[in-house]
Amino acid sequence: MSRLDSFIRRLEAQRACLNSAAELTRHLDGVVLELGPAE
Amino acid sequence: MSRLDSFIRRLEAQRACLNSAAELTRHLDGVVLELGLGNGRTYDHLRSILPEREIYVCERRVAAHPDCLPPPERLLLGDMRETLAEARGRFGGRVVLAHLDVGTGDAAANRALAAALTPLVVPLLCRGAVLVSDPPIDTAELESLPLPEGIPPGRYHLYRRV
Repeated sequence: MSRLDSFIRRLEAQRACLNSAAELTRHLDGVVLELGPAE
Repeated sequence: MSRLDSFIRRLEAQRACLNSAAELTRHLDGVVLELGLGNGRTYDHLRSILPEREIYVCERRVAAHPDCLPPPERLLLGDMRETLAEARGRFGGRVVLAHLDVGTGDAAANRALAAALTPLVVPLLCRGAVLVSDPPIDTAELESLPLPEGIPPGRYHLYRRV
């Protein structure tokens, strides 16, 4: 697996996790916190 | 569509085009040219799918991951407008696959640089060679190839030297 392959896999996993977290917390009141460097 | 979505789509299109170009040129003798090393991700991909090929890399200033550096004898260090002109004697008509991604994030600047580099790159390509490019390129010596399945027109570019 190349670095291009593993980078794409990581970004796809990141997106899938963010989408899942958004769904899992939809019923809760509150804010969102982004920790870490923004690209 | 978010920037994360569009970045993933671009990388997937880039990988699909590189894989397709590797297949399309498998029957040709010659070398591969990576125009712009960047962080070394696509160089690493090219050497993983084309382990038998000599891959030469043009870069103005190396800033890639240490694991993604070409051997020193296959690095053409300097401004591509100069190194490509100098490479004509060494590589003229011997390149079977070239990848142009000089991404600066500025689409207009990328197109302008691609237009400046095109007359330097085309003479290096053998007949039937494939050029994979992020910016579109318009020259009579290159014909557009259909993109791999699932990649919409314009997201990345594939050309064949006529």
